[in-house]
Amino acid sequence: MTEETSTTEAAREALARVRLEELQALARTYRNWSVKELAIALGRQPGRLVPESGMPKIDLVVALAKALDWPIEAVVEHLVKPDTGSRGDGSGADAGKDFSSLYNASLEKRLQRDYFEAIRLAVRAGSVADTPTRRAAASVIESDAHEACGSYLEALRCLRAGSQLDGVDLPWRLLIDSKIANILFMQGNRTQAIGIASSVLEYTSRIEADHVAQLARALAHWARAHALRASIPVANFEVWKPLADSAEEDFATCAEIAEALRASEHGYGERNLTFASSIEVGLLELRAVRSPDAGGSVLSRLLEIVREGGDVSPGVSERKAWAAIALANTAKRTVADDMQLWGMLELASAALRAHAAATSNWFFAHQHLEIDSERRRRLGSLAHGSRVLDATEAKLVAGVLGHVPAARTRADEYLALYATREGSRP
Amino acid sequence: MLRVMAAHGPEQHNDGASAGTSARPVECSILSTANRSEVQGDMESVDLQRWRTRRLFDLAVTAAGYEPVRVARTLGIDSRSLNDMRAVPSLGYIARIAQVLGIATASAAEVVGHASGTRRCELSSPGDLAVAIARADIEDDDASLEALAEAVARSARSPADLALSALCIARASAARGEVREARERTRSLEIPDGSDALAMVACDLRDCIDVEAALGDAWTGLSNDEPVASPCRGLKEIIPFGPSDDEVAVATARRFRHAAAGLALELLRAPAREFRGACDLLAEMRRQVLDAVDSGCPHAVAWAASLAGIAALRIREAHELPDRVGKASMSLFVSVQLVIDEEIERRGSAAPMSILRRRLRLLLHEWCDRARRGEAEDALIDECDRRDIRTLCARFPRARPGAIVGSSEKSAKFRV
Repeated sequence: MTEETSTTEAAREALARVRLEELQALARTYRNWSVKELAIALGRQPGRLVPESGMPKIDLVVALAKALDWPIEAVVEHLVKPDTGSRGDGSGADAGKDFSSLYNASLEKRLQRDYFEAIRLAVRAGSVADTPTRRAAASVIESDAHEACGSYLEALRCLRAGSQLDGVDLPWRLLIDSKIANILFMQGNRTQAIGIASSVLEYTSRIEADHVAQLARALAHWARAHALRASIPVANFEVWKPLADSAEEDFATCAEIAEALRASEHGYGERNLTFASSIEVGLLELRAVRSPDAGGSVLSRLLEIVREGGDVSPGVSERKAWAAIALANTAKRTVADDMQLWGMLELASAALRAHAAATSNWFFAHQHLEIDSERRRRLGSLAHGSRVLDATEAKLVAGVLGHVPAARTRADEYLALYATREGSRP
Repeated sequence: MLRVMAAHGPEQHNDGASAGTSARPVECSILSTANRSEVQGDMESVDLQRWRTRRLFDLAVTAAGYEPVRVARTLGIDSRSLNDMRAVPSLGYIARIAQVLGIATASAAEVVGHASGTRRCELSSPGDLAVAIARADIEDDDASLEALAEAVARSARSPADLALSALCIARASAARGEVREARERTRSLEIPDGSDALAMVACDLRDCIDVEAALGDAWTGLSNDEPVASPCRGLKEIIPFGPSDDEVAVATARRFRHAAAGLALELLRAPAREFRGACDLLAEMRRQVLDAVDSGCPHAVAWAASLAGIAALRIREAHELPDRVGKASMSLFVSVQLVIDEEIERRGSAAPMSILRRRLRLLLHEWCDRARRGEAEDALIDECDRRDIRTLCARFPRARPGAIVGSSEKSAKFRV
């Protein structure tokens, strides 16, 4: 076993060495540099550009990323990606099954929260799909399953692969784009989310929309509404009222489409339109932006929703999490009393933490960390510096840093704030 | 239409900054203007990398619920190295910690390496921001444009800031060759008119995206559904370029780019009118490229030559091209390639990134054009070409699964 592991490790290192040489050659061509110039840029001796082990030190990776104008993530992905064809087609006990049964089985497994089986079945459905649209549909359900188990990067990879297929029916292509907009929003890329959602809405307005295109429209309105809502700052927000109007229109249209889909004969129900159940809380937050006088009543209603309990119907927990975000934002905009504000932020943070920990939803986990760190900053001297984490919180911090690129700009703060051991930041 | 994008708040009317950037510090990373000294990590960043690695290990220990020594042993890490952290952590080390945390190695490396050694600058006024965006635009620098877009979005004070941020992201897409996507993303944006620096730079970004979209993307060439007559809204010189050589060079390049774009669009409209005047326009473009060389500004050469070259390639796609025009266009194409190559050779490793990037852009169009025509044959691809294609794939991610690599893969066993 040990021998096998070390052989795998050696093969991986040998591959990384080849890849590192490739990337260095690429950087030289790209920058028009000699070997000596590259060595200066990478902070190494010309003869020691590739380490014996094949695995470069992190400072070399960072310098190489800068030389190539690539993100660090892209360089590392290239260095560590498997050679070729390591991704199987997921075939197992269900070999010989047709696309429809595999597709439906994957959906069923996802609803049962057996995400790994859902992913395997979706991969299998993609491999037996006989048309580009079916392959795209398989990539959509595979992405949904990855997203549900908290792997945003994989979810986005699947959607991007689906969007690059030729010959996909337009409604499915638009559905993929609207899902991309959603994931980008959850990863903190609001501007991209608005751009992609707007282009989906522009196209869907020009075509005769079937139920798939309608779902794409609903999701695009949803993504754009949230991206616009999240762009409104908590201070000096009066100038942003036009944005609140647009977001409100998007939410309202999304709700109408969801209602029409639910009433249609295409089998949409509470379980696959969960997002629609959270529209009310988004609208509440926007109402407080448009009429600050309504802040008090909005806060009361949001507190009610966050404190709701006992209902296990689909979407309720998610609705509470969205309500917690709306509560925190509205409180920061309208509550003047510090103690009252701290209390509301604590409540919102706890609701988000509970939902994030139960569902591996890194978007809500990120919001929890943001609110918690802000609350602790506001407490100032009353806060006790970095605090000890439990295993669940440690996983939340790791998940947020791993899956929400926008959170990495504050990685140092999180790592310092949620540190557990000795050692202060240099 | 996102009507909010046209909104102007009282804040903007008060201080006259209609693009919504009242004087405020905007922190951003200028990634790719990095010269070699900037690319080198300094001691502070190395210390940060060690510290972040140690913190990630602590997170892994908490998540696993075991003693640090036991986790270190399981990961095959020497626990003594964790205590002193004298060495810079290797990628393998970080990969093992990432495994315990259940995140991708690439994400963990991004956390450890994030912003280390990156020059961070304070853009204290809308003027500074306008200059930084204009420079990134002229240098065709997608990484800086995205960093600036993030900085603008992070500190947005009005809806107009979001529009500027979206424009920067779209311009970054265009810089990677994804011109149709860039055009689609800006189609529904309403850029506020204005006479301040940021409104002007927004106009410049949009002009550039429109012109690149009108010239077609490299992968499919010209599209019939995109009208060629995209407007060039007119160059205004209000962007507050200072007296430094670098800023004067950017201002010169903007002027040449604007003129080259005007001629290129006129040339693309010419085929519909039986090529009347096409040869005159080609000659005019050639003159302009030579003027750019005389200006001594490499950015100007980069833009004038690459736009002329791409336009020359494009009119070859028209049906029933008269011989005279076909020869003139190829002659222009070859001469602009020579001009760019000579400029790069003359400047050696001091050649600015703008000219290297625009050369690559021209090559991308040429190779895709050859692939579409079935001219990318095994015998025609030499080691030099292969090197160019490899670089193209680094700079333009879309080129990887596209026709260009497809054809060369078949014929030359090309591997990225």
